[in-house]
Amino acid sequence: MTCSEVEARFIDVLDERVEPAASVRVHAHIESCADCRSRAALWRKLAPALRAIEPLPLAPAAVRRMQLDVERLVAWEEAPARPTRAPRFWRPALFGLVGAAAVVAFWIHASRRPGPTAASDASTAFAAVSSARGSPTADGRPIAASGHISSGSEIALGRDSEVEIGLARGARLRLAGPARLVLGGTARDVSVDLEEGTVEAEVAHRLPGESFAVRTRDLRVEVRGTKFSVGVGASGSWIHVAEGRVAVRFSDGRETSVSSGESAQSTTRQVAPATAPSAPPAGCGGTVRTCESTTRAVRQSMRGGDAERALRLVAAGTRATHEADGDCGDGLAACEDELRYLRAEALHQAGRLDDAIGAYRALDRRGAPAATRQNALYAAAQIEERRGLGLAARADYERALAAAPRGALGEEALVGAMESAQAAGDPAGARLLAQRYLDQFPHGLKVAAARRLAVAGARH
Amino acid sequence: MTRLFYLTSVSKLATIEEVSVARDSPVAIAGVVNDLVERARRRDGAAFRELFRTHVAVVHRVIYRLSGPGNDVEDLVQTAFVEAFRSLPDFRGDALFSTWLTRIAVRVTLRAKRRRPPFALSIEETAEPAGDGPGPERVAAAREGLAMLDLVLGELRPKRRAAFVLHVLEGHSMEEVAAILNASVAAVKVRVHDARRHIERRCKTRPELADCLQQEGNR
Repeated sequence: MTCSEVEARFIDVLDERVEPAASVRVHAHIESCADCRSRAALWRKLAPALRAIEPLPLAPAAVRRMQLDVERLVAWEEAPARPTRAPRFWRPALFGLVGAAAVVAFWIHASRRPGPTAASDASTAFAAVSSARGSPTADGRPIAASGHISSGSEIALGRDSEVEIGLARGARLRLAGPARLVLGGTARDVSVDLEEGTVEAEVAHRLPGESFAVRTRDLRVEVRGTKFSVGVGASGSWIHVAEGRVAVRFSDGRETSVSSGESAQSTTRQVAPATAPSAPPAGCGGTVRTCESTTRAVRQSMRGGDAERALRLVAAGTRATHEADGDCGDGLAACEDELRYLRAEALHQAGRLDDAIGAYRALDRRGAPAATRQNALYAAAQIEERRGLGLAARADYERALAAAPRGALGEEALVGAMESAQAAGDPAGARLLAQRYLDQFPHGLKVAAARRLAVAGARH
Repeated sequence: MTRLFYLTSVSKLATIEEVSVARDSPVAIAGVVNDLVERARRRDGAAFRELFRTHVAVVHRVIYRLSGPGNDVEDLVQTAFVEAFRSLPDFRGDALFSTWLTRIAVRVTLRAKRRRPPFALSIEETAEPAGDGPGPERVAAAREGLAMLDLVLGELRPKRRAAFVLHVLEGHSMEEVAAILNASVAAVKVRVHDARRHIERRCKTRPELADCLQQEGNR
C-alpha cells in the first residue's frame, strides 16, 4: 500500500468501514512509515474533535415555523401530473425543441414587457393567492385563486376587486380595490409598498431577526405579531391596529408605537385611541422606553442562548414597571405583556418546562392580546404534546383556538385541536373540529386530513 | 500482532434512520422511512411533517458545516426541504432517503455560496438560536468551537469543503460522497486529500488551533 492509499482510508478505518484484512494492511503501513504515523496520530485526534463541533440545535419555535413554511410552499407549488418519459432517442430532439421554444417565448416576452419577474414564476414565489374576486392583477396579469406571486410583483385591484394573499411565516394580506401595492422582500423580511388603497394584514409572531414592514409614501410600519390595517388616501396615510402593537415611523423621522385599538394618521401625526384613555402621567414615557429596551435585551440574551440572564432581565424589568407611578396607559401594558411572554419563552429555553407551561397559560388568564394568547397557548400545547400529555395539549389547543378563531393563527390552533382530539381517542370530537376546519378553511393545508377525520368520525 | 494504536474507532455519527428507529433492524428502518416517503408522495401532510421533523437536525448540521455561520442557514434548510419534497417523485429509493436529502442540501448550499461572498464571524458574533436547555457555559464553549471550525473550514474552496465535511465530519464513505456531489470517487479523494493537507498546515502554523480543536474533542 502506498502512503496516499493509506491516507485515503484513514477515516474509513476510524469508522470501521474497511474489511479486517485491509485494516491490517493499513495499520502495517502506518507501523512502518513515520510520516503516516504522525499524520494518523493527528487525525485520530482531529476527526472526533471536528465532529464534536455542531451548531446549537434550532429553537423549537424556529423548527415549527420552518415546518409550516415548507408545508405551505410545497402545497402552493404542487406540480401538475408528470408526463410519461419519452424514449431515450427522442430526448435530443425534444431538448432542442424545448430550448428553441423557450428562446422564442423569452424573446416575445422580453420584447413585450421588460418589467419585473412574472407573477406566475413559481421558482421565486413566496406568496400564494388564497382567494380572488373581481379582476386583480399582478404585474399586469390576472391573478387566479391558488396562483403564486413573486417577490417584487406589483399588485393592482380595480373597484369591486378583492384578493387575499398568504405569505410564508404565517402572514396574510387582504386587499380591497381600488388599491395598488408592490409585494417585495423575502420570506424572512417582507416589505409591502402600498401606493394606493387599503391593506389589512395579519402577521403571526416573527422570530428575532425577521421583519415585516408596510410602507407608504409618508409612513413605515414595522410589526412582529399583530393584526392591523394601513391605508393611503389623498390626504395622507393612516394605520389602525386591531391586535398587538406596531412601530410607526413617519416621513419626517418621528417614531411612535400604536397599540391595539389605536389609530395614527400621517396628516395629523397624532395617535388617536379608539377608546380614549386618561392621559398618562409625566415620567411614563421613560418607564415605557426602559421597558422596551429591557425586552430588546431579553431577546438578545435569548438569541445568545443565555436564558438565565434573560430571566433575570425580565424580573428586573417587571419590578421597574411595577414601581412606575400611576397608570402609564396601554403602551406600558403592551410592553408588560411582552415581558410576560418573553419570560415564558425564556423558561422554555431554560428547560423549565412546567414553569414555562404555567407562564404561557398565565398570559391567557391575564387577558393579553389575542395573538399573544394564541401563541402562548399553542406553545404550551406543543410542549405538552411532546411530553405525552395529550389531554392537557388538547385543552390548550382549544383555548388557543378560542383566543384566535380565525386567520392563520386560528388555522394553526384548529389543526392542533383536531389532531390532538384524534390522538386522544375522541373521533366524534375530531370529526366536529375537522368539519369546522373544512367549513372555515376550504383551501387550507390540512383539507385532506380533515376530510379523512370527518369521514372516520362519522363511522363511529 | 499488529497494534491498533494509531487509528482507534471514533464514535460513529448516527444517521437519521438510526436515531429514529435505533433498535430496529436495517430492514425495518428502511421500511419506516420508505413508508413515510411513499405517503409523502401521496401528499400526506403527516408524513411530510414526520420526515421534516426527523431530518431537520441533520440537514441543519450539514448546511451549517458547509456554509458556516450566517443568517441564511435556516433559509437554506427550508429551501432544501422544499426542493426535496417537490422532487419526491424523482426519489427512486436507490440510496437512503437521508443521503438523497443530503445531496439536495449540498446542492442548495453550494448554489447559494456561488451567489454570495463568503464571510466569517468573530467568536463574539457567532450567535446561534438556542434550543432547549443549553446553559451559558455550553453555549459559550459551542460558540468558541464553531468559530474555530469556521476558521479551519472557511479557507477551503466550496467543493473541497463539501467533500471534507461529508467524508470526515459526516462520516460518509468516499463512494457516498461521490454520489452526493455527483463527482467521481477519484475526484472526491483528491478534494479530501487537499482539504486535509490544508488543515494540517493550519494546525502546524497555528498550534493554538490544534489545541483548541483537541480540547473540543475531549469535551
